[in-house]
Amino acid sequence: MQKQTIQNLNLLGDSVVIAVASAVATKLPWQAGWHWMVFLGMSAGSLLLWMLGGRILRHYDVWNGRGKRSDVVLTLLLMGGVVTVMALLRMMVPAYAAGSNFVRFIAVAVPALLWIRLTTSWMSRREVPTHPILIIGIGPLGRHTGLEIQDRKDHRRVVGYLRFADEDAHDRLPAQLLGTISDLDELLKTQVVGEVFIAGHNDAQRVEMQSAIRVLERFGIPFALPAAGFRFGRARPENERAVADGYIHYLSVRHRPVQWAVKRLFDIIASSVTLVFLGPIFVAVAIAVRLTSRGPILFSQQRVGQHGQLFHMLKFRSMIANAEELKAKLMAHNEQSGPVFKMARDPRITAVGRFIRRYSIDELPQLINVLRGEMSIVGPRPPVPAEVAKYEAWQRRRLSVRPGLTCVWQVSGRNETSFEEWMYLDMQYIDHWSLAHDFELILKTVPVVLSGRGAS
Amino acid sequence: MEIDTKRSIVLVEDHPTEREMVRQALVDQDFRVEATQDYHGAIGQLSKLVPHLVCLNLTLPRESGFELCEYIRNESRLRFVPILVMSDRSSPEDMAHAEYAGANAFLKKPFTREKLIKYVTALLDGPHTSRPSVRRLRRSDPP
Repeated sequence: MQKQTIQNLNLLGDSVVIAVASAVATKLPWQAGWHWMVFLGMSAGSLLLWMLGGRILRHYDVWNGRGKRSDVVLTLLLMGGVVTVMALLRMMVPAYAAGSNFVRFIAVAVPALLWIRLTTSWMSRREVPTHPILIIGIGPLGRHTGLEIQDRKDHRRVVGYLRFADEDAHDRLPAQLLGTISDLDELLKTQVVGEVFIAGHNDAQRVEMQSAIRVLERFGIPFALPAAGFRFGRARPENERAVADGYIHYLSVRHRPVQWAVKRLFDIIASSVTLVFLGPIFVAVAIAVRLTSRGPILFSQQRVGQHGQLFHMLKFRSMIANAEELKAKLMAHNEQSGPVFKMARDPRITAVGRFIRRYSIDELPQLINVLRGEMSIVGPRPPVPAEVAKYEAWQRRRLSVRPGLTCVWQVSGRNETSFEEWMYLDMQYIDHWSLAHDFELILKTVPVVLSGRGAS
Repeated sequence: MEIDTKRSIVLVEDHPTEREMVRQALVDQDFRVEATQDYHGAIGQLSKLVPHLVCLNLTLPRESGFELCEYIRNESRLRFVPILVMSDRSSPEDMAHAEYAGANAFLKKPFTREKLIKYVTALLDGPHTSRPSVRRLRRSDPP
């Protein structure tokens, strides 16, 4: 089944559940006090809110890369939002209150919606894996590794193979052959790769393997090496789980699964709470942007996320409608070294735009990106694809973590630092990452934003 | 005297129950099965006949299945006999080493009877995936 079909089924299922839950929550047609308006209002209202929220949070997106836990959190969050708004409506329309019961609504809707969500996301996870794997080496080891990954049917997918110089090309591989190991550098600049399996021989291909490791460390891409390189008739590793797939896996950052989970949890809670509290500001800015210049309220730009995965970063529009076309003409006035474009008195910025940029209000819609899992609160700013194309290999390591709203560079005097220095600061942030440092950066960001210091 | 037209398989498995189950499954498919429990038993059987197929486990009491694969590939008489490895050591590395040692196919334990028959028939009848040399033998020089 296509992933899109699965998502459509999900939407259909959810609509049925919400309609049924509304029916259960209101009085039944043969009962005293039943009114069709109450049922219709409740089901239509909650369905509308649900779909609106689902659209914002990309609940039904074909690709969202979310795990089981975030699915549960998102469903609960959406339901919480729907029920809150419906409860507010009920207070305003007393007639509605007479024949409806929210406890019954929640009792029916929440378990059913969760069940549908988990089933369908399980189905679509099996359908289109999202973690792209590159395998170096097309000998028996490389081939079996690829077949093994394919057979597991998890979130991983073999995107291709590179061969060692001494290997002959053949067509019995489970994925396409993309070149030789000397193409690794170039390939990593264009292809999204989540992990590289180096399926080589420690003695025969030692030099090539070592150079591949050097490249991968520079790019910050996780890689795996054969656990043994020897054959065993009987012996097994004492800790079998450590080398469950016959490989030892390496990261260019320190492995801190618990802290990463806490960071993600903090992102979800902080962004959703902030979104709710800043709701009035959002509405005010939206109105201001809409009324003062022609064009959409939000500006969505393609940015490069973790592992080079593209996503749409949201901002309040602060420039005139055809700003991107004018950028080429203004390139001569660029005030930032390197591939980034920055200009103090950029003529494309609108009056409202200048204000919201000064206090970084234009960046607030990115809280939605955070909730979607494409960004984090703290992390290197997501670059545009054109910048990434000009990156040197070591600078691509920025893409090994989730991009964020604020980072070291943003609190360090902002545009006064050079591009080189900015990259260097980001790299230091990645290499010495800790939760405590994240909170410190958040605290330091607040005065920088409020004072409007250094922003352009 | 009756001429034996059945195809022969040498089965090398140290676990008695598993050996008997695999033997029975193959006998039911009308193969002549010589079952043995280790490397030396297998060498003994292979000195008496050139089978159509060898099925072996990698983990054996003394010499391992890898050594048996290598022995078979180094004997000119046996060089083209297809080898099916049946093992629960099934990391890509184990599979690759089995292939380096000369195995033609790798059947992961535990397996079903259907899967065993499928692998055996594929090795005996089908075109070979990893060793074209076996096909060459079939055409020119039937055992």
